[in-house]
Amino acid sequence: MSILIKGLNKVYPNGNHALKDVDLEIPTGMFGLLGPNGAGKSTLMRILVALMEPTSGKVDIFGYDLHKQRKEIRRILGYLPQDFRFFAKYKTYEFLDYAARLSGMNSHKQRKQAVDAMLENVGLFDVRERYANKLSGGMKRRLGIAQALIHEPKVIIVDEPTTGLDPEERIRFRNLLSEVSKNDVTIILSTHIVGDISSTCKCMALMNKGEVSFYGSPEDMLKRTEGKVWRIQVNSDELHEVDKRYPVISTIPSGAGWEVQVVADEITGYQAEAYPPNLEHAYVYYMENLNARGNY
Amino acid sequence: MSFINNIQSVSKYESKLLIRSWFFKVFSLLAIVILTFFNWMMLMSEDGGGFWAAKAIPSNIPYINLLLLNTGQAIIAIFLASDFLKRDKKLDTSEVFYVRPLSNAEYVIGKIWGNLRVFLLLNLIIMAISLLFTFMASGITVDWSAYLIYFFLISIPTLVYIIGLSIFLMLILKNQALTFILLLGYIGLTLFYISDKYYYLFDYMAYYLPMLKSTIIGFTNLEAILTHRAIYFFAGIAFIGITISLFRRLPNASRNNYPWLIFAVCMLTISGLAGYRHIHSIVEKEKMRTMYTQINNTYVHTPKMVIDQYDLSIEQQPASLHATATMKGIALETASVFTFCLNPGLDIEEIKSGDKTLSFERDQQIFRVAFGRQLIKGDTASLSVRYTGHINNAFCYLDIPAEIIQKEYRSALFNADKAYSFLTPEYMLLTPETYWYPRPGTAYSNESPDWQQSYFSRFHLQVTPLPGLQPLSQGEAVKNEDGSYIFHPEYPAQAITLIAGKYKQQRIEKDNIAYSVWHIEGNDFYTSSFDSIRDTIPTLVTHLKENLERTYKLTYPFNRFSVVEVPAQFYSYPHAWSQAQEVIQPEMVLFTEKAWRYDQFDVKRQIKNQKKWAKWRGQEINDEEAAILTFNGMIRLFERIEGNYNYTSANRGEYNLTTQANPYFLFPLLYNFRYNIYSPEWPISNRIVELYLQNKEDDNNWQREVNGISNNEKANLLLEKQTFKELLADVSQRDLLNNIVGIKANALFAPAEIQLGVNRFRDSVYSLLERNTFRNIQLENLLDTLGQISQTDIRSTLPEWEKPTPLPYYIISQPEVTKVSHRGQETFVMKIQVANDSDYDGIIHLHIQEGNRQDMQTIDPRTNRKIALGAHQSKEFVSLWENAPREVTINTMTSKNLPNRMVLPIGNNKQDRRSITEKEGDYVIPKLQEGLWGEIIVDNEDSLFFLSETAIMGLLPQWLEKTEDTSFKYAGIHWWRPPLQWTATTNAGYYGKYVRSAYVIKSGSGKQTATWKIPVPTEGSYELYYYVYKGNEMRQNNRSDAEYHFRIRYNEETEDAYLNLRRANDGWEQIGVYYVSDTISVTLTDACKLRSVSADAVKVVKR
Repeated sequence: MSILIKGLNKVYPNGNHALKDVDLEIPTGMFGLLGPNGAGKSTLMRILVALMEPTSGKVDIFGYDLHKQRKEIRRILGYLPQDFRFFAKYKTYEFLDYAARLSGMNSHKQRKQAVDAMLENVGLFDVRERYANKLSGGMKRRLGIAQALIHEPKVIIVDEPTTGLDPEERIRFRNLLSEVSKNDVTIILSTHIVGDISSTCKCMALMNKGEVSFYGSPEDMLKRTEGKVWRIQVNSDELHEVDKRYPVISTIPSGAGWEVQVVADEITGYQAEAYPPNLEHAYVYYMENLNARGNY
Repeated sequence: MSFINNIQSVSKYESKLLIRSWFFKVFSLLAIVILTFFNWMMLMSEDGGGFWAAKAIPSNIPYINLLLLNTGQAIIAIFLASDFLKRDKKLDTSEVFYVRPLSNAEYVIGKIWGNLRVFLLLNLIIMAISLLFTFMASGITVDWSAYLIYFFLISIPTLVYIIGLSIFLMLILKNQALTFILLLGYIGLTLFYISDKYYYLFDYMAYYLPMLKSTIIGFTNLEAILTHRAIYFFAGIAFIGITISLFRRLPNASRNNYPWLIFAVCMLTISGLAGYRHIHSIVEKEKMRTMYTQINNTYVHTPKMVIDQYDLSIEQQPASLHATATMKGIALETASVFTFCLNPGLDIEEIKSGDKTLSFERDQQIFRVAFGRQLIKGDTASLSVRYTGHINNAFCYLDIPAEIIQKEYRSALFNADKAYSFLTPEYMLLTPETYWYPRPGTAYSNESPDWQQSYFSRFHLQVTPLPGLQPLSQGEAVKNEDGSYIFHPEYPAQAITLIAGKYKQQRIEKDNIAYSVWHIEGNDFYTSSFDSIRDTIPTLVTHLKENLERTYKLTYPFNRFSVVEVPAQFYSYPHAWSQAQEVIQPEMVLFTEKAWRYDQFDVKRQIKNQKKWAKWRGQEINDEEAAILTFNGMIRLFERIEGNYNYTSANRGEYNLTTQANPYFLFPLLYNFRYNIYSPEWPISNRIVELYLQNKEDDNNWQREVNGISNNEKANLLLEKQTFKELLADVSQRDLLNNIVGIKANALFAPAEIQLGVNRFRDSVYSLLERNTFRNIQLENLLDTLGQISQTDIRSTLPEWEKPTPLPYYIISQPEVTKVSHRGQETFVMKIQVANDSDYDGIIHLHIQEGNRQDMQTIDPRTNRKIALGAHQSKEFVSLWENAPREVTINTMTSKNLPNRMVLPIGNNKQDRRSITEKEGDYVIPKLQEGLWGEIIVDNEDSLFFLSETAIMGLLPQWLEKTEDTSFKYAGIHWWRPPLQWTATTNAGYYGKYVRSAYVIKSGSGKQTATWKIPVPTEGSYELYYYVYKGNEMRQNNRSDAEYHFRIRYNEETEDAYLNLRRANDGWEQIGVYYVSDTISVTLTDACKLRSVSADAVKVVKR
């Protein structure tokens, strides 16, 4: 395991218990951290990149203790924060060069080559002279991942990287991460967009209210949801009834009525047809179950 | 290595941000443009005046450039430096740098260094600009080291400190605006309010710290400068350390913050220690001075000798001197142990009398020599003192209060250290103030003036200077084969001076006097400019000498006159007992380095200016004439009594013009080194006669106009409350000392002048002095002799000096002149009445200017008289003149009258055809009637005059307006910036019985008022008048609609009345006629189209 998290707690000064006894083992490769907003993902990310100290618990990254050996950890770490929009007055290549320098790339020649290659890689070479502030949202994200990768880190932590991106940019971004994940690195991808995980991660954790609700592969999660997704044909009057009784995933107009997809252990009172689940269905099913258990 | 690399990385990108910020770009551009223009004005411009201080001393060019830049960058730096913390917080992309493996220290130091190096680059650009102009300007050398030194002493500590402090504050306060405001306030406070107080301790910008570097001697206070700068440099480093330890990013290791906290504490300790050392060295010096004075007090009454003959043999060492002083003295009283004084920095090795070693006791500066036998008063004894060491400057000027010692010595922005002596391998200057050779008795004692009795001695001085140095002293220098020099002044002197440096001489001779200028090698800035008038210079110099001799009726007693250039830091204070400062020594003036403080010595520019000014006057002058005018302008400095003027503002609209004595005024050469008047009781006896001879009676009119009260008037008001003795010791009134002593001197001799006539009495004083050339005269004996000559008891008035002075006051009538023609002969009869309305006797000084013949004043004794007026006595002075008298000046001398001196011009003369019936003389008349029957006048000085309450001002305006509190009721008023509150001022143009005053206020909405209440004796019609004085504003501002707005209340009615000032004349102007039964109340409001309103006097006249 590349990252071991044990008994991690974070209580903010305002009393908010953001992480509650989080135990995680994160293997090499792409690891997805899924959860709704406020689940504690960003807190966990910020602790992992040594921007924040946990209240208690232990984190071990590639054998380095996060509490004692931050320098070593920072050396092998690449980080793209959730918000990555406002830049100081640096040009695109300067931003990357600065990041490279601070990561210990002292040779000017080597650094220049690396920066150019990285800019090429993320498709920003043509705008290298442009001030970073003037880049589009997608370009900024790409610059963000570029700075996280410039020093070839062993652990890459990306927090909500696709939020706000258009579908094309989002796919491009996913592909980029997938490409990087082939190089024997650990990528922790924190997101609340299920699609990000389903397409890239072999292992994932689901977080809700500061706790890990699920740990395993996306396939495991899907398996546990098989037979729990239903398709129901309803008229307009019934639609309201169904919406009240079951978590509705989608509502599609069909003939004189509606075709409604819901997740539930079983359906009573309606003509329901079992439907093969995807990760999004699984996520909704899990969140519904957790909420139903009063896991607040 | 990674430490340096990381710092470099952070700093590189921080610098980029700074350079890209508009704020910095604008500041840099402004700084470059302004300082380029400033350097051009200073060094190149044909029209720019001043700046000689910078050109004369080349190190001043980087000094002033960096000082100016520093002030600006200190403000900009607080904003820009603290910006990175705000940026880090605001910009979400900053976090990606926080997760890099660099340490907090590397990050913070990198950021600071990034800021610092951009500012330093700006400093280098500015220095390069000033260097460029220095190269382009002709005749200015470059002081390369100064560029480096000032860069390290001014810019670096300031920037490190202010950047460190601002980042630290930003970290604590977490608010850039608040940090900025706080620091801006701090800068303002240190710059404008604290300034040089507390020994420059808070002067982090080195704005007030004396840092002038002489071309002759370099710095004289380098240790003090380094200590001072260390305070701020290390404090800045400490703040950076604290910032690192408190920086809001998890350190690379959990305990990484502690070493930086310890480091910061260490730096803060060093800074504190430097501060302590800075203060301690000054306080310690002051303690030493107190101790020296106390030691003098202890020995002041012990037996002393008078030294008749000095044989001094001095050998200059690199930082010390070896000396033997052989003295032949006469015992002033019978004793076996005699007291001498020598600078405490000099160690006595041996004292001998012939071959016999004498025992002695040393107590700091004092050494008491036991002769081993009783010397009877008048016995002669010889002794030889061998001593070595350096000069302790703390021993000098023990009489000068610490506040004055601590006062800055600056010209424009250049602050110089004050040094009283120099003893270095390149230069030596030892004046008598240092006690560089043994002198009998003690130095200054604040308990008894007994210490002060200086005597005239014969001097023989042998000096062996260090190689390459030319020694100078009193007498002609004779060089021996062994490299030593002999000086043997042909006259007895009270003390001598020793100077040695790389001197070059310019010498001319005229009328058996050798005139020399001794300048330091390389400091000849004048000879080439005066080549064309080389032959004329002796005449110009002689003219100066003759002018002084004629003005003061004293002759120049020496065969030589030398102007000797001394380092810029050399400073002298005026002593209470004499006008002679240390810069004036027998036969020489110790003139400040290249005259750096005097723009008239910017010879090349002055010659050009003279031509330009002549053109403006419509004249054309050639180079020679311009050179002569310039030369005269330079040497006029030696004739001036007053030094430079200081212009300060107290409350808004109130101004104060002060001046100090001109140290280079040559009067002491004519008087002080030749005569010596002493008194065991009155240490200022010499000064009494000096000021009396200088006729120090009047203040300049324009100066009075600015201040609203003259210095003599201030002195009078002080003398009424305090005794003369108390005022002599009052440090706060030191600037008025000449006036206080001058008033007393004039009052002392006035009865004798009345008896003998002013001019005759003065002649007696001169001849008495002449008979005592190079001899001591005791004041009491002098007064007795003068008393005998004038048949007055002058001396008996001395005990009055121990009491406050009662001030009489006078009512003065307008002089009247009648032209009487009788049988073809015209005679002008002049009458003037003066009444002493007080309970005290007094004396007035009457000057009459007849025709236009100014010189008559010296010939006709009637034009210049002092007249006694007893308590409640009124006199009419009648005099007959061939020519029409033009003007009468009455100086009420020691009096309460304001203005103290009234100039009364005589306008239209009456004409009469008759024989002359009037007889010349002073006639006692019945009490002088003031005003006509039925007239009632209420003046602003009366109890029936009331002012409205002052408008409440906010704290900030109060703080901004108020800079100085004046203890005098009356202040100077400027019409273009009048005061915001009713402010009393005096002027001869105002109405007043004794005090011609008025209250002035800035014009306003009409809320501020002045009210006169006039009760009338009987019901009836009354004409109401207001006393108009059309001051400067009416002369300059030609508004036809300027009018005063009055509200007249009478018989329970209120009426508005207006007085058009343009149409009004000076004096009483009618406002209107009112039927009044009981009281009429006149209220003047501040609503006026002029800038100010003056409330003076109103009068009612019964119809």
